[in-house]
Amino acid sequence: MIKKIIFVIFLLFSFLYSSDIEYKGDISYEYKKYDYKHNIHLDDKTQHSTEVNLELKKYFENKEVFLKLEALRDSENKNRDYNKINEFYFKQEFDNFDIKIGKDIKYWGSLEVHNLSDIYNNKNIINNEFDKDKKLGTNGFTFTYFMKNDDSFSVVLSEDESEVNTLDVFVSYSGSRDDIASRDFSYILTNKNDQFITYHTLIQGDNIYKIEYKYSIKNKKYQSGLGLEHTIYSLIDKKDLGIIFEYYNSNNKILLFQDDIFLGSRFNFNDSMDSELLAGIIYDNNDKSQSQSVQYKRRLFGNVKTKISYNKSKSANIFLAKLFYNF
Amino acid sequence: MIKIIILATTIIVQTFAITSLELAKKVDKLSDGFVSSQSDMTMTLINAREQKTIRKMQTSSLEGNSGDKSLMMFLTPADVKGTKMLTHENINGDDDQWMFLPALKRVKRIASRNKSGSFMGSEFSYEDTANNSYEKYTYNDDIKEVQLDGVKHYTSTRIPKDKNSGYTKQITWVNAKTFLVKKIDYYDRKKELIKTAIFDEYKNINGISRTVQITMTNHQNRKMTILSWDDDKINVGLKDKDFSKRKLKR
Repeated sequence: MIKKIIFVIFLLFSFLYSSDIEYKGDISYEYKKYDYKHNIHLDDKTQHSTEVNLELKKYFENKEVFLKLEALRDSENKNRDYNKINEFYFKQEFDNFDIKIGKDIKYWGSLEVHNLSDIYNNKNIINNEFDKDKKLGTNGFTFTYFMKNDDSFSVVLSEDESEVNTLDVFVSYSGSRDDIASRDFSYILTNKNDQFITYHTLIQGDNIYKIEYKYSIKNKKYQSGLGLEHTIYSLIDKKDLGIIFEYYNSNNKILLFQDDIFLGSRFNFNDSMDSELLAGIIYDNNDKSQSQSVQYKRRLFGNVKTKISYNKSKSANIFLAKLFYNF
Repeated sequence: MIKIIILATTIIVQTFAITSLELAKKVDKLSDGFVSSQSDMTMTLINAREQKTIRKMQTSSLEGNSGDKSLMMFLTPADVKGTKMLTHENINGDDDQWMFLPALKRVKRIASRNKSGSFMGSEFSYEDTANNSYEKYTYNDDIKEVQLDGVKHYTSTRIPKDKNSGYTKQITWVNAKTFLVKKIDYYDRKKELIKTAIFDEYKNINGISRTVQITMTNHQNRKMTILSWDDDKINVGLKDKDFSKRKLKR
């Protein structure tokens, strides 16, 4: 079996090396230790998993084909195991517009902790229930028209994964301005719960202000988020300190972020090892609880990186150590 | 006697006929007119124990009246491959800057007012790597003729106009014959010498001077960074639309 895997990997890399297909990816090993406070998931106290991600990209003049393969193996919990094509799309660029067909991931939002605007893709909770950036590709068609001032107008059609035979339609308008400040904006209308979504980033001096807002006409529920990020450069030698404040509010009682405050810091060492220390506290005003997290990332050598984090919340304390090899 | 004084005065005036501002304009003119360019950039970080880390990037830029536009794509290390940084320089204000993070598919607008931050963990700051138009400085009239490595150079002091600059002054050494910058001493906000840039090599493409290699030495932490450009091409036909947010995601 191992010989077969090595042979397939050898063939794949020989093919990639000889063609002009761009590729990148990573192989990682993760160790997670859960310390549950209410005696739930007692059989799941530690988790060892290996993950492989591979992206392949090929350009033919104004055309692009993109494929992302993902695989995960858990040494104890086999329900977590998967092999999937998470993205596979064809994109063609014309003079003033692009079309994209297939399975892809989009990023909508401006805030750092939680993007309430980011509703196009479902989260990959099997991979990581807390990582907002782990997402599942969605099948769809995207048409984007670009104005002369670089503003863009998009129409996205996608299959609704929660309702069979239903088509979700998203219409968006995005752009940048330099008027009251340097700012980026996006407005989205969708038939998915009849929602209106908007998100903005505004820069004034060293401060970055962020806003996200979502309103469902169908449910009469809103979600909003406000953020401020300020960086102190060269605090110690070349090291920078970023301070992040975010506040989330909603009248939807089933959501996690109803009345929550986040205060965090990002300490960038600016060294050759790309070391970074993140720390943050989320305070839930509703049940007066808080969760804290601290994360340290750095390169060990060459293409090998490591990440260590510790999260403490009212339900569990989680320690994570991850080792990556990037290629 | 009067004739001798007049002759001596004339010689001195002729010798220092150039002012610091005129010198800066001459230096600028040598590198102006590339219209658009593309090159591969290698950054070698050398720590105090002389261990090396290498980073590679692809850069392209476009000259503009209100400021240049540039797009930089990181090729190595592997974990940041595909990360892009788009800069729209504004001579009369803060630059506009966006970063594309390919793992997240996210285009993120970033603050650019503070120019003194380290560029990718190197000894270069963002302002060291930006276009150094003569209009960004005021000049002390302290131009002097000096010898550097046995070659005649002019030295003069320039002061950044940008109040967010990390420097209080810079002393430049300009080759008196070619008008190419050979060396710059950078003084930090405490007015202490922090870094020295040595412009190791230039090349001439169709009459335009292009930097091939710069070595930046930080005197305070004893670290060095070498920045070198390969496969440098000018007048490559790039347009404004090649420096748009649309291109960040490509």
